[in-house]
Amino acid sequence: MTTPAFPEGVKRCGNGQFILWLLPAFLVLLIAVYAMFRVWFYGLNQTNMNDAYGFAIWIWADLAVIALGGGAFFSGFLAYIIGVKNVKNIINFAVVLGVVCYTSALLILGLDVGQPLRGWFIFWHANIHSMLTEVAFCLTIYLGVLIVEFIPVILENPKIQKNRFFHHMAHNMHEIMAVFAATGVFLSFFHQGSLGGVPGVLYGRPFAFREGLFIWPWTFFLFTWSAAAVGPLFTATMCRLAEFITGKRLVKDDVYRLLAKISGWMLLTYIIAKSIDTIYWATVTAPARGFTLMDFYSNNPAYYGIWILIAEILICGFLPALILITQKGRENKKLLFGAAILAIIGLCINRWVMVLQVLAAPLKPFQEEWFVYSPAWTEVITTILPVAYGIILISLAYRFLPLFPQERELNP
Amino acid sequence: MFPFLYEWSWYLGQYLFMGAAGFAISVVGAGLTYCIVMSIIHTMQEDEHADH
Amino acid sequence: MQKIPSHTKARHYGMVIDLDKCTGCATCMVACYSENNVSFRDDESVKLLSINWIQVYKLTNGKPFPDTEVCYLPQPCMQCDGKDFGHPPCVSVCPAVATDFDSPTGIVSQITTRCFGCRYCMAACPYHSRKFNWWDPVWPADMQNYLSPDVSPRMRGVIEKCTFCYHRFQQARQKAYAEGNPEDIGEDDYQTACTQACPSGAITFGDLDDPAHEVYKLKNNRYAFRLLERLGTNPSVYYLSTRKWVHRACDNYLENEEPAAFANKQA
Repeated sequence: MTTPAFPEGVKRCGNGQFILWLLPAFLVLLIAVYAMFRVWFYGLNQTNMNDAYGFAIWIWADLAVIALGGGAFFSGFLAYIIGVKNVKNIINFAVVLGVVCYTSALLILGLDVGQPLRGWFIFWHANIHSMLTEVAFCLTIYLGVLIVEFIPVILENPKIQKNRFFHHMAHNMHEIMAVFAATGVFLSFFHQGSLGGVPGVLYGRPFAFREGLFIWPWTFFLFTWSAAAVGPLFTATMCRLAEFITGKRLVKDDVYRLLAKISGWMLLTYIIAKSIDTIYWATVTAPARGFTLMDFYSNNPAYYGIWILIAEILICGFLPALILITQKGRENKKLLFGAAILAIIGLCINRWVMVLQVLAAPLKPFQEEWFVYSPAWTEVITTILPVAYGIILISLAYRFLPLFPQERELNP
Repeated sequence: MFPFLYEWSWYLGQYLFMGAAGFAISVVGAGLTYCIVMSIIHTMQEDEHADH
Repeated sequence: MQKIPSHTKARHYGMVIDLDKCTGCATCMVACYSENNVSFRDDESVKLLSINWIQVYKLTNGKPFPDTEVCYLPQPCMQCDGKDFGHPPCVSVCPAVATDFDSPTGIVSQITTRCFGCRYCMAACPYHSRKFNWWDPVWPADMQNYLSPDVSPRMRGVIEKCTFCYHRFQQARQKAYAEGNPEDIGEDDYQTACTQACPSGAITFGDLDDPAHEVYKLKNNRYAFRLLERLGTNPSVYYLSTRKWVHRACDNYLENEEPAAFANKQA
């Protein structure tokens, strides 16, 4: 009898249907790879970035996917270190999602630098005072940790399990997973934080600059906290999406509700801290440099004005947090995932303003105009790349690996 | 990264940063090595049992 | 940050630009292009894509004729000292130590062969003094023979910026060594290209801490100010203007605040 390629006891679609499903993603991937090579070959003049927008949509995408990928570290923390058993039912999926997010982030970083072949300078000639150095070190090592966490899941494919060494390897790696998870949490704390430090330390940019604790500006802690709060919500939402696409139930509702409860309280505490930070910045930090709050939210050529702040803090911050901390909110699936999507949008808005609005706001009073930027097609398609690549990797992982321990039970 | 490079300076921050990075890499490396070694031992033990 | 060797005399080079004298002729820009092998494009109209180490901005008081006033503001790299003499906004953020604060001169360096083009320094600099090489530098064939052998041209994908013509400082130092007086670099021995080219004498350059230098006196002038000084960047470039609106146009003030030179005084 031949060993099946799929995990035991689950149903998967036929090969033809599977390939058809992946085809659009492959097409997007192909165009994105073409754009990537154009950028590497001809240089960054293939983008619409300029001297005012040294950081643009790529860096935003980077910050956003890393924050959303934070679900992997925080679920790992809950499952292996705190010992919340129920989270283990979704942890494999969180790890795959993390791998997608972090490889995408590193790829985008590799695209974004002007001299990619000198990329290793950031390690070799490391300036430890730079937040970007901290990001590069922690990000790379953490991606290593994520891959280590992913390996036992791969090894659990029935065909691979037939090999006794791989069988033992998967078992042994599961045994000491807490060690890897703890290292991952340690690294994640620092790189999520130092990504927040990237804008926070820019004392020449009053929109971004924040005071802080020792060498860390407040944004350091806010970024870590928000990633830990929203990351698991992103994992849950993507899992729900997978359920919708496959037409199967993959995890029990109490897993969603548990993640939503933890995330809800984290989000609430985060958004309170963020509000205090914003009020202090608007009334003390910025005025000391000659700016009022409305200087940063008026005459914006994108017309969103102060609404972006209201959207981030009230609509996509307090509102989802309040829904998620109430039992009624969590028990209604539509409310739960509606709130999760709002929280995800809020996180993306936060990363957006902390990258792009920082650079857009004019500083010299004789230059009243805001700096305007719209991404080139090369930037847009490479920003979509993680989605296409994610669809492919997650589909493959779902098809061949036992990502969801509860799948068999839920789909008899 | 190393003391022979221009930008190296002998002070606490440098030790802490490189120490933390080295520690994380060591933990992951040691963990992986442990898993590989134990898996080899387990596989060999199984083979011995199979021989008998 | 490099420590000052014990045998080296500490200098703090800086510039004072008299905005009431500047006519906006942009000779400083041309001189800089030729002195430092700054590359240019066919279309130089989009300043956010082209490279210039010193850029002349046009300021107006915003009033209708006949009260309109214009002021031209040449802006090189501000060579910031940063918060505590040695930590300019751009230096501490560079992940690969491709830019450094040179304590013996107070000049912020840029090592273009070390830079890998992450542009973090560009995001950190509030003055837009840092320029990125979006394209390969190309000069018309016959112009290549006129490139200065003292300054390396930069490659695509790296940041470059004004260095206060640092190669001229190196030449002055070599000359001083050759003459047996290594510490004796006089005011005239080291001057930047833009300073020498300015036809109206609006730019003065020298050691800000040396009372014998002209800049020392000028920076202590009542009407001296620095661009975006309130951000705490501590620039080494000072500007002079007796016009209050120029002061107001060069830094951010709340409605009830006045520029230092005019506080409690009628302009």
